[in-house]
Amino acid sequence: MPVCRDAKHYLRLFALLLLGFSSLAHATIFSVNNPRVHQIGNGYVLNAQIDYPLTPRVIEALHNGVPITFFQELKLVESFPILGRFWQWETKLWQTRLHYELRYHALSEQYVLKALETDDQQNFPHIEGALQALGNIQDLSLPPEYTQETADLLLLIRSGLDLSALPTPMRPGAMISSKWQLTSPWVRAVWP
Amino acid sequence: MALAFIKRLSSGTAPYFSLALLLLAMAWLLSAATQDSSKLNDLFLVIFGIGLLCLLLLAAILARSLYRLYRDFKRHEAGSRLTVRLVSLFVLLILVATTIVYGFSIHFLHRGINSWFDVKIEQALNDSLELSRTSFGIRMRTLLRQTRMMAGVLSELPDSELSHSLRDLNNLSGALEVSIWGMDGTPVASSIETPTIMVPDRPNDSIISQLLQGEDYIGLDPTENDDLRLRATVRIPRQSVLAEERMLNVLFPINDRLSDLGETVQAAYTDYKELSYLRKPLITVFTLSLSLIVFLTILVSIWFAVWISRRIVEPLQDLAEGTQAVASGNYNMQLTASGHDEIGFLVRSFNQMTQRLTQARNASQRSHRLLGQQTSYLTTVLGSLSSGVVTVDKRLYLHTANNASSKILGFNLQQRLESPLSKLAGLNRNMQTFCQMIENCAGRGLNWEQQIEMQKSKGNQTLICHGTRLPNEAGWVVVFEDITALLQAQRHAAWGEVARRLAHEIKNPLTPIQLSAERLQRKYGSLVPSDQSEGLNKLTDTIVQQVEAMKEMVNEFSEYARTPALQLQWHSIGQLIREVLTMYQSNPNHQFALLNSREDIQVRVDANRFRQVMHNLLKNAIEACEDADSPVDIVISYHPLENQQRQWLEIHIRDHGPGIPDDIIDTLFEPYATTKHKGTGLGLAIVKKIIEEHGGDVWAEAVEGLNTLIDFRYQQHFFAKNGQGGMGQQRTGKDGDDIVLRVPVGTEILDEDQETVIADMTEVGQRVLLARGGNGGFGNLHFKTATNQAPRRANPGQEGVERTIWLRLKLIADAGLLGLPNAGKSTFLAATSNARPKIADYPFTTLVPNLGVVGVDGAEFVVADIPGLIAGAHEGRGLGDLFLGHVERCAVLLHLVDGTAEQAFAERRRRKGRTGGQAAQRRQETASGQNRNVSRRRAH
Repeated sequence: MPVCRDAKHYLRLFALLLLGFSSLAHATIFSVNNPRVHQIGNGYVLNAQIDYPLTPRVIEALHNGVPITFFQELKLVESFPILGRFWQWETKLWQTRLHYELRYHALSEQYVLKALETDDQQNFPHIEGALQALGNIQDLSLPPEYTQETADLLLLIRSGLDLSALPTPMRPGAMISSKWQLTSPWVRAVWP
Repeated sequence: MALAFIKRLSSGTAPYFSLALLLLAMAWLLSAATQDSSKLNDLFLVIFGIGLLCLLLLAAILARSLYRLYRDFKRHEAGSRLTVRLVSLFVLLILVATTIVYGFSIHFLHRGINSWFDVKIEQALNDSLELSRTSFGIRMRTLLRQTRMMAGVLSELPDSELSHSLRDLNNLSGALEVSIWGMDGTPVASSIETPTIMVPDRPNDSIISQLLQGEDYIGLDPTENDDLRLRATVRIPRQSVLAEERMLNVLFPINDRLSDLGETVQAAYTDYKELSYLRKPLITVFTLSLSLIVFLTILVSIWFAVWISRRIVEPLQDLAEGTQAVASGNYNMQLTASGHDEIGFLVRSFNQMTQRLTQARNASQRSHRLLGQQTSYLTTVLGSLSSGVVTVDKRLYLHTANNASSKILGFNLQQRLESPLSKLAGLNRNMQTFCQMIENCAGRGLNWEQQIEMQKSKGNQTLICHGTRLPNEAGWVVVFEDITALLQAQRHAAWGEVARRLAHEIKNPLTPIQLSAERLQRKYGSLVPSDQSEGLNKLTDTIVQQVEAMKEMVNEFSEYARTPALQLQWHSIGQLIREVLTMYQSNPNHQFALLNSREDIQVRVDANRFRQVMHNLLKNAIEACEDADSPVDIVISYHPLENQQRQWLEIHIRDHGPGIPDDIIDTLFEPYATTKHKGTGLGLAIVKKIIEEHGGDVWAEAVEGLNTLIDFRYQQHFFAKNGQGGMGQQRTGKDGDDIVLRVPVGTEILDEDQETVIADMTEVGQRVLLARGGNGGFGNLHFKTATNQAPRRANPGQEGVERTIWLRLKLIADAGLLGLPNAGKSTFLAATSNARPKIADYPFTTLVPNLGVVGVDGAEFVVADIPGLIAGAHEGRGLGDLFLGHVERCAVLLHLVDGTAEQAFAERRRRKGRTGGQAAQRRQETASGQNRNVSRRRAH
């Protein structure tokens, strides 16, 4: 019946739009590079370098006084390969999320990077420096209780923008806009 | 599945209300979610998403409703137009109202939000920040110089004294921290004023890279506590090229007050900037929420409008369908009444109307049936009336006529309905009389009565007609009856009464007169002298005789007037008639023939009365023939007849008298109707009375009959007319009329030689062609062909045939009596049949052949008694032999031989002289016959 036909038509259009959006979202996102785990003593530490190619929209927001929050997510996963490499059973052992806030200090014209968990603050005169410092993970220690057996352990890292920390009016726009969807995919760290 | 869900949702009333509630909840949630610092902040998008979903769902449901409405409209379903109109009006109203509100809301939203932000404030803040920067800038330059100086001092010091010098410099400069670092970021020496801080603040890589590029760094350094410090990082000039590159990092404090002010300005500026930046997203969010709410509202309202319209129109739709049903003839529609508003009232009124319609129609059907019954009743009544009922409309056209009217008028009126009277009048004379009467009387008042006379074969017919004007100028109804019988009965009754009275009155004095006369004769006869006694006797005899005659007359009157009861018994009619005929055998000159006398016909009659009837009729016939001097030859016949589903016996008594004059034929059967100069004139009246008492009818017919060839004695040449010649213009000439010679039954037609028989006319109505007319000629038209359109030849006609014929009439008899004269043939005939031939003892008493009907064992045959044959009859002696022709047709010839023949011859000669007395003898016989009749009558 015609209503049915119309409904299907509209659903198809909607799906196409979503697809379009999602395709646009793959423009430039954060990327985790060279995540490595080193063993120091009995524990393991992680070194990684994360790139933060911010879009002009984000930078504009930053310059307009909007604090931008980044998150870095780490996940320890034990995976049991079932059916070979095609399907693996994963159990999450440990997960942590680190938040960093980047603000622009208008008076000093400095970019203030603050680790929200530790309240450590760093000031940078240029944004690149701030982003570089942000993306530079050095000797991040992993919880020893989970890393006893490293047989099937997987460490996954990803990073992105914490859109829920944005001011409310911006959130709907940020959530559907491709300019704000910059979260990197999960990257597996290399074990020693 | 989704469509089924949508379908289920879009029907019924519950979904409407639940959706409306959902809409309200949605609106509240959205408004709460857009408020700042609310828990629902995070859920904003979720709520918005749900809202969008609801919007889509609602749009689908509404689309289906609208599509259904459109489909109904296209199909011209009852009520669809009104629904569409209502829905359009509602939608227009909703859209207009909502659009206005929406527009104004958006406008106010923009205006409201934008009003928070003033350009001047922004400028002020910018300027404040600039001012702050400038004020710090001055201090920064000073401190940079100081740091450079410190670096210069330190560059000359060896490493061992660095930390000591740093402490001094720290105290002197009043810095928070002084530290020396290598260019790779390794710490060399440091001096920190605050004892709690162990680790010096390392300048970050961008500062280092800046130093590497040869530029000293001085800048504000915001701390975690929202304090401000100044950081100066300069390169320490190295003494030698081999020495390590080092930098000096000094952190200077800023006046608390200045710091606070700076922070305040910075905070205000940042906040304002952030707010100003968030203006657009805020407007967008508000607009989206508002739009969602507005669209949801519009959709729900439209849907509700559709539903309301349908509900309002539904009873109207039922009403429209009901009206259509009533228009198409179905009056039994009853709608379900609902609601107490005007539409409910309309529905109830409609139901009442259909009820009344049904009742009215049923009543009308009933009355129609009744009317049909009445009409058939009336038709039956009219049909069985004996009076004629005729209706005529106002244009004088025949409208209806019942069976009796056709019968009375003798004309089938029922085939001529709707014809004008003028046309009917032209059909025959009776109809003319009738129609003219109606036309004349139509101009009169309401009722009229008229009596008219009609001519019928039986006589005159009197009709009495009543006319009445029909109501509403519909015409006239004429009721008429044949009162001929009634009039006659009236006359009869009157006569009867008169007769009875008269008889009674006259009879009384008659007896004394007679007795007195007889006594006179007896008493005074002896006293009178003998020569006068004969005269006295004659006179008294005359008195007595005349008195007797008068008594006789009076008795006849009494008889006529009297009506004793009939004694009906079954009799054989043939036997009855023959009994009557035997009494007439005395007169040999009177011939009676009874034809077709079947013995098996029985009638229920009073025998005496019937005999009286026969006597009267026969007497009449005889007297009529004698008066006209024509031979008395009466033929009686009877046969059964079926008329009007009743069995009748028709008796014919036919004579060859002079006929009945036209003027008395009507009143023939009335008393005193007579052409005789003697007699009472009651004979036929009595006959009629008796016949009518038996339930029969009697009438007289004047019939022409031929029994002689006398017509041909005086005219012997007959010419048929010539035909007409052909005429111009392709007209064919008319054939000449045929000529018909009428001959009696029994005539033989002979050719000129008197021997060859051309035809023998033995049956009534037989026709034979004697001479054919000439052949007509052919004109040139006859010879026209396809190739020759105007031929030039013609054929003349041929002469007709001329012929001479002989006509010979032979009497038809089954048996012939032959023999010598006076052999006793007539005697034999008289003895065996009812004929009464002249019998005498001289020969040749029979001069003409006599016919007699002989009945033996139920069979009858006609015997012809012919004049005697003598020797030499062929030469013309005696009566000749010409009369022998009459016995030619006889099947049987009886030769009668007298045993005493010699004496017969002698006897003849002796009685020759007496032939002259034959006439006297005949007369005497006639007289005696009459006397016998008289005496017979008296005996009755």
